[in-house]
This record gives sequence, structure tokens and C-alpha cells, in this order.
Amino acid sequence: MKKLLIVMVVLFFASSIAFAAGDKEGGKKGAAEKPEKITIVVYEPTEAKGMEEFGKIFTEKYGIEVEVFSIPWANLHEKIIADLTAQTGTYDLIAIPGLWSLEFIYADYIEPLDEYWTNPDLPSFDIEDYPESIVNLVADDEHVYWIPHHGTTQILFYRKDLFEKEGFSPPETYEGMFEIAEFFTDNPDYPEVYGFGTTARQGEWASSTWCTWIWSWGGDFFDENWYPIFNDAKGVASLEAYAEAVNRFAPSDAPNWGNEEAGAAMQQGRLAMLQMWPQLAAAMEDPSQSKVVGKVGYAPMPKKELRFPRLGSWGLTISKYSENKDWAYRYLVEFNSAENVKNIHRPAGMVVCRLSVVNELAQDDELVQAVLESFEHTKERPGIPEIGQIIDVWGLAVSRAVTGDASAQVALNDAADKIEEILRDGGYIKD
Amino acid sequence: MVVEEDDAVRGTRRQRRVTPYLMLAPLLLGLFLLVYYPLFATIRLSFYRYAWNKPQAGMKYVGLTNYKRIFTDRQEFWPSMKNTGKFTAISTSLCILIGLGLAVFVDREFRGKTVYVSLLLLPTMIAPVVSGLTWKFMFDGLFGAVNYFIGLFGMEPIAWLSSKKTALGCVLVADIWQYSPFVFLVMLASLQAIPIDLFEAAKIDGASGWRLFTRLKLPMILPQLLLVGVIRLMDTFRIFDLIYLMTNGGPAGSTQTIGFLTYQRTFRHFKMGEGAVLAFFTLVAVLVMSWYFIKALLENARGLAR
Repeated sequence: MKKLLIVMVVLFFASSIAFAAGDKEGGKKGAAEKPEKITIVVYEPTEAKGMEEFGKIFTEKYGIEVEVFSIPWANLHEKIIADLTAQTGTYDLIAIPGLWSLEFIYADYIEPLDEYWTNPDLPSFDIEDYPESIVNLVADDEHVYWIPHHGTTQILFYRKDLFEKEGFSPPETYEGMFEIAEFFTDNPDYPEVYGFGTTARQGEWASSTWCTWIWSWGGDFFDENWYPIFNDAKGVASLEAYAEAVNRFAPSDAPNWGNEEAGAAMQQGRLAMLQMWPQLAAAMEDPSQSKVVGKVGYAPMPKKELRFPRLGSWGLTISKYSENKDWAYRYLVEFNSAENVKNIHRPAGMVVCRLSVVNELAQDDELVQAVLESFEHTKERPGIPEIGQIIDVWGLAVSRAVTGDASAQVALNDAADKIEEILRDGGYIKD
Repeated sequence: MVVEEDDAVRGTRRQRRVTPYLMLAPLLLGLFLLVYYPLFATIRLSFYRYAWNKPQAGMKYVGLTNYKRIFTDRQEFWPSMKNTGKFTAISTSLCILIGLGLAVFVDREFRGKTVYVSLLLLPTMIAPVVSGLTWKFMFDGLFGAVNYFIGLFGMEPIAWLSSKKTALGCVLVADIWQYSPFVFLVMLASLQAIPIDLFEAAKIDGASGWRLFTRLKLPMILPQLLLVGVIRLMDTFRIFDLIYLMTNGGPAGSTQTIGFLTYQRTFRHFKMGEGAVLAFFTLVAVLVMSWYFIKALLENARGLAR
């Protein structure tokens, strides 16, 4: 009996090894056989609507079904990594933000697109019609790996009706913004209105909005050797100002605000100004939810030393493990055609960045003008694989400073120590 | 003829030896695949550096480095341990007190008892995600129901989930609200299983009220009380879903728990080795903490058997 058990166990392990997924060669580039379906994974809900609408057009034209997987932001990264690690090829096209760029490039998860648009058998694409700063987010010295359908910066939403009544203009400087915010906060003429809001919840939200402040103060996160420098005088001053703005001018629960809470506060008329992403503009103009339809204006974030808002961008990439690379590329090119880009702008929630289209739209659209003006100085945090953990450390530091758990200097010093350890472990800092 | 009988006897004996193993084989296989293999794989992973989103770096054996990194982390691990300890102690004890108290109160006949018990059990029927989101909205500083109600008494609104002083308390309220009914249900069933003649005998001897409860009811329901205590201890130590939904570990790390840190390290930071350390630590910690309860349970069972 014992021998039988031993034999069963050995057979079990042997069969496990035999069936274990080995390295899988991705689908060959140039395999042009028409598939029945191509699949896309995107960030819910902003991206999905535009992809689905265009998917119908693509299906009608080519007879290929387009299936869109729409996943909430909080779970998107792990879902995609799980698929790519297992090399299942579930998704032909993957929407990623610029923040994940280096991670995906280093891991060889995505296809270099320049090899496609220079292929005479495939449609060409004019990538020059995009801002270089956005294209280069997901590029290395040799290749470009995405076409960004959505590229924007954080901007300032403001109550243009209240501003007009009080004779204010959108603030050019942070000092000007503080003055206006102070006017509206605790003003008996505006009992339900607070001067300013932003997303200060611990984690990505706090880290994301503080980026704009530290860069505007002339600070930065790392030097050329990856040593943390965000706890220098500029970094500390920017965080102190950020904490002051949240504590003096925002509602008391702003330290736990994500995009939804901050957007809801603006929609309900509780804020005079809000630091936010442009794609929430659609919610401000939705009469079924918003009390401020037609009352919200859009301006670039103010400047300190510079106007330097954080860049946020999403684009489609082709999975290395896709079996339908050529047709995925065709979808990608046609989705980003100048004509379709106009269709997916704002009504579908995206803020497009194809320059020829954006310049045309900017003539009538204050929001697009605000974003275009912000492109002068903008960037994203480095998209290294460790960025997820680093963002959480920053987010904790910002939350500590905002809640008074620690001074800005102490919070940033602690964060710098932790992040230096992460970067050493990752091989970025070499002593 | 003797030889045929020996063969028959041997055959039967072999069948008797093998049959129990064959009966247990599917269960043992399932246990191995779903419990022991993942457990040993996790323990093994804790000795490796492996970043899920850096396949190009491969898996590298690092010995106890991950353990050292986690247990010397003063910024995240030890504050999380402190929060988890607070949460576990308060939630477990209050769930038991409230659940037991409600059970003792309901353990009598009164009109509408069925409806009352059904209403008491409602929170356990709600999915934790729904419960977490609902409580998050209720504690909202601007639009929440809690601030509305305290406003009726003239109090100023409170930033419940944005204050270090109140955020963990809010998560505790949501957890206790959802799981006290489970304790109540088990305790009520235990109380109702006590033979009535024991009570009558005790009453004849002059026992009533508090003495009846402490000298008769409580010892009789002790095994079930220990059992729910162990279950709540395990659940509260691993708390994650409410933190994820309501506060994301903030503000300023005041609601960060070991369960949430494990999720963060594994699925946001993709550091599988460190995530494995935290997962294994959670298992060991829960086993150690529940040891007393399990030991008491076993001793109680032995006592009853004698």
C-alpha cells in the first residue's frame, strides 16, 4: 500500500511538471489570417465606451468581433500582469498608462509599433502628430510601443459663475489661488462653498496630486543617480503648501478623497476650485447628476516657479502573446485615425492628444485650451517596475503631512529612507 | 480447499486495508492541492526575491532577507501590527459581548420573535463589499447619514474617515455591525440546546438571573463561545476588505493592517517573496493566538467525555 501511494505521488508530480506552462512563443508578427475576434482590455469606465463604439464600426467593416474587457483601475494592473505572466494571450490590445511604461518594456510584454507602421504590408501611421513628451512615455532609444489616445494634464476646475460675480479670474499663481480660496471658505455669502479641493487620500491619489505641486515649486523626486531629493527645501515647501491648502480651504474629509469624492463635491456645488483630471468634466455637465451644469470653467493649474502639472496618458499597446497582432494593429491605427479621435473626445470621456485634432478642437473648447497650455511643462513619474511601491510610500508621506501626523520634513525624510532602500534593492542606486 | 480459503481470506483482508485509503483519496488529493501544496509553495517563495512584474529578473534565492526586511520595517509593518492588534482585540471582544448579549435577551418567548431574529441576522446576509461601500457613504463628511443624524442633535459634522482618531473606529463599527449577528446566531442556538430540566432543577435550588447565567448557561455554552471566539479572531486578524473599500489604509496609515499590507505588497507592489512572508506570518500568528482557545476547547471536550 505504501508503495502504491509513493507511485501515485511521483506520477502526480511528474505530470505536473510535464503540463507546466513553459515559455510560449507569441503569435508571429505578420500572421495575417483574419481572426474571428480581437480582444482589448481597458480602464473602466473612461476608455470602454470609446472602444466599444469604434468596435462596432470595425466589426461592420471587417467582420471581426471586438470584445472589450473593462476593468476598474484598482484591479487593472494585477489583471494584466497575471495574463502576461501566464502568457495566455487573452488580450490582443492592452491599454496602459504612461506610468507602467518601463515595466512593460523591460519585461518584453509589448510589441514595438514602429516595426508595424514601417511594414509596407500594413497601414502606416503618423506618430509625429502626437506630442513627443507623451509618445516618449512608452518608448526607448530604439522603438515606440504605443499610440496614446488619451493625453492630458491635471487642470483647475473653477466655478466661473462665482468668479464672474466676484470679479475673479482663474489664478495664475498659487498665491493667487490661495487668496481666492480664502475668500470663498467660511464666507457667509457662500455658506456651503469651500475654496479648494484635491484628492488627498493616502496612496496613488495623494501622490498624484502632490506631483503637480512639487514640480511647480521647482523640486523633483530623484537626481540623475536615482537618489531621492524630494525631501529637500523645495519638496518640503511644496508639501507644506499642499497640506495647508487641504486643511484651510477644503472640506474636513478631503484627506480621504479620491477622484469620485472630489468630483462629487464639485458637482454638488461645494467647491470654488478643484485640482482634477479633465475627463471628469463630462460629469460636471451631466444634468442628471450635476448641480453646476454650465457653471464650471477650466484653466491650467497655477504656477510657482513654473506651471508644471502632472501628465496623465493612456494608450493601446499590442501584447507580445497576441495571436492576432496584425489585426490588432489595424484596429489600433483606425481607432486613432484623425476622424475617429474627434468622436472619442469628451463625449466618450477621453481627452485626446492628437495635435492636428486638438488644435482644431481648442478653438471652441476651454478645457482643451487649458490642457494645451499645460503641455509646455509636464511629465509623469518614472515608470519603473518599483513605482507602485514608491507611490504608496509617497502617498503615506503626503497623508501624514496633511493629517498632522508628522511635519512635512519628517514625513518626507522617512519616505526618502524607504524609497532609497527600494531603489538599492532594485539595482538603481549603485554605491 | 484450505488453500482456496486462505486466498479468499487474504483477498478480503487486502480489500479491507485498501478500501479506507481509496475512500479518503479524493479528499486527501483535494487537501493536498488546495491547502498543503499552496502552503509549502508560499513558504518556499518567502525565501526568494521574485517580482511578478519583472520576469526578466527571474527568481533568486535570498535566504532570510525578506523576513529581515519585513520585520525591521518600522514604517509599515510594525504600525500595521499595532493597528491589527487593536482591531482584533476590540472587534472580537465586542462581537462576542454584543452577540452573546443579544442571544441571552432573545432566549425567551415573545411576540414577533421570528421577525426580530430575522432582522437581527440581516447584516450577515449582506456581501462585505456592499456593507463596506454603504458604511463608507454613511460616514461621508459632506453627504453621509451619520453626520445628518448627529446634526439633528446640534453637533458639528465630523470627518469620520479622514481623521486618524476616528477612521479605525469607523471600520470597527462596520465590522462589528456585520459579524455580531453571526455570534448571536451561534450563541442563541447553543442556549436553546440546553436541556430545560437543568434550569428547572436550578430554580428549585433557588438560582435565578445572574447566577443562573454564570453557573449554568455560560459553562454549557463555553465550547461554542470558544469556537466563535477563534473564528472571529482569525477573521479580524486578516481584515482587508473593509480597509480597501473605506480608507485604503489611511489616513496616515492609521487603518493599515497586516491583511491590507499583504495585499499591497503582493498585488500592488508585485513583491511576491515579501508578500509570502506576510502571508506565512499571518498564518503563524493566527495559529498562536487561537492556540489558547483551541486548547481550552479540547480540554473542555475531554472533560465532558470523562
